[in-house]
Amino acid sequence: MGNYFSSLFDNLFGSKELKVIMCGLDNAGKTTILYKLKIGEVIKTIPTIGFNVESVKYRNVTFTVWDVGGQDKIRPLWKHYYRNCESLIFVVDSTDKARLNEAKIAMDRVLSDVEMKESELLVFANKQDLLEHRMTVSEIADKLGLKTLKDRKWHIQGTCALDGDGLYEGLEWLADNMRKRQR
Amino acid sequence: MSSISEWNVDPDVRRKLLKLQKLESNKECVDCKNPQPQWASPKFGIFICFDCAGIHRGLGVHISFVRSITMDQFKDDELKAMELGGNDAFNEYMKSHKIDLELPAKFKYDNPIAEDYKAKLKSLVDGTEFEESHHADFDPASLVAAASAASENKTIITGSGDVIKSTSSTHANTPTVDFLEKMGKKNSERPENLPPSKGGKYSGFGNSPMVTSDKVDSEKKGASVTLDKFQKDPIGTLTSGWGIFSKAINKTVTDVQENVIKPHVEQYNNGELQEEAMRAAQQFGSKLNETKQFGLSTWSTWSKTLHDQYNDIIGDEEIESENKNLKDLKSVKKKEYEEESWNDF
Repeated sequence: MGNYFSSLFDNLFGSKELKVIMCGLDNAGKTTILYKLKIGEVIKTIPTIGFNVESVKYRNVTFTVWDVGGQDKIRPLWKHYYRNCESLIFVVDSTDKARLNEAKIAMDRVLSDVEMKESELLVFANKQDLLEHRMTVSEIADKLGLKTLKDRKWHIQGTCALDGDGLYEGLEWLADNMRKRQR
Repeated sequence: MSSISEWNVDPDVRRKLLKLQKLESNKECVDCKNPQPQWASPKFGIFICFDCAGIHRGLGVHISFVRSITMDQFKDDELKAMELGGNDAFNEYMKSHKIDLELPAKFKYDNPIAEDYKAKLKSLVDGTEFEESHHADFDPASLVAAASAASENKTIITGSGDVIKSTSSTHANTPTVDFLEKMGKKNSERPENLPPSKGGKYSGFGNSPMVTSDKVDSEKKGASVTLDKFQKDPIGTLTSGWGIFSKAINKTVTDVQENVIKPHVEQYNNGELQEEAMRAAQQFGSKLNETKQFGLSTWSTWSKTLHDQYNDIIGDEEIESENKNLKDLKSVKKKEYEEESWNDF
């Protein structure tokens, strides 16, 4: 209920803030992406226990990005960050063939939460620079079953967080959706 | 919602791992000798500390796959690899093949010998035969040379990194925008028929769900209700923004049902209520069009009509408590929000 009023409030006052939650299995590159967006540099990361949150200004949209840790035991904590999130960024390690199905299960679980019913989905197929080991973007889209998500706005984007490639296109997609909503 | 894997850790496995970690050889990080390593790389059967876990993760899963012994669920074969492996076994194998244990992780774990060790450990776990291959063309000493060359490079990088840092802080407001725009422009100029690592384009695609014309209509109208427009042209905005209000009514009714009615009137079902509210909304819609010329007075008509309609549906008592509820919510919603989210922690 509060959820609804808060979004009405935002609509009325034309606030251009977008709350985004970034999930994915451990070692997908979530924290690296977050800080590449924030400071434009690759930081030396350690496993995230808990979360990182940064606001990233891009054009006239302020993205508040919650980056939550991906270890098995702390994944149940993700749900506490769902509220008011307009968008979900799901990060996949394109080289982790063995765990792509696990990633799909995790993603489905997030999307099935009632709080995420309306949220749009941006999938970052990260680590696309590792040619020998990576799966292609369309392969990942297939295995994640994205094409079966008929009622959801989704976009999958190949990225390389180390260079920042693809991140722009992803943010642009989010910002574009936001503009469409507010028009 | 079908096969959802359990997101918790089997306490048995965890206990076993912690016991393994207490063995003499596993008591310190295999790389940096930090005490009490809580992380592991099952592919090598080694225990590593938090910091080295970060480094190992950076190598990529094809080289080293990192698990937390307290926060990750080990698969059976991963646990077995930890039992059959261990820091000592790894160190001995590497030493006997003349790999310098002090090498940076990137060189220590990404070479034919380390690959062999992974294969050996895997065949131990699977109970298959392991045949050591000979790497005539591989000289362990070359790793040392490569590592020292890289570390020289690294100092240059750190040096220039500092420079970059100081310059970027001078225009701290826009580095993200500039950077991302630059990357986007660069990406758009790349050829599409090549993979990214060969200089091709980072591409993506997606889906926008098909919406019924009804939904599109109401969404469009809903989006046009802004405070600005409303102040300039209340009626125009209101009528054009009718969609959002009828939507709002539907939604509110659902919410009210969840929070107010459900506990009291169990037998009321959602569909019925929504239908009634919709009918009410439609009636009001036509009324609003008729009374456009009365300006702001439509507001009161609206709320009055709505009030009446609600009364029909739910009865006086409910509507009072509900109105109060809504008002309270509106006035304190922000504050409440913050509190709520903190409580959730």
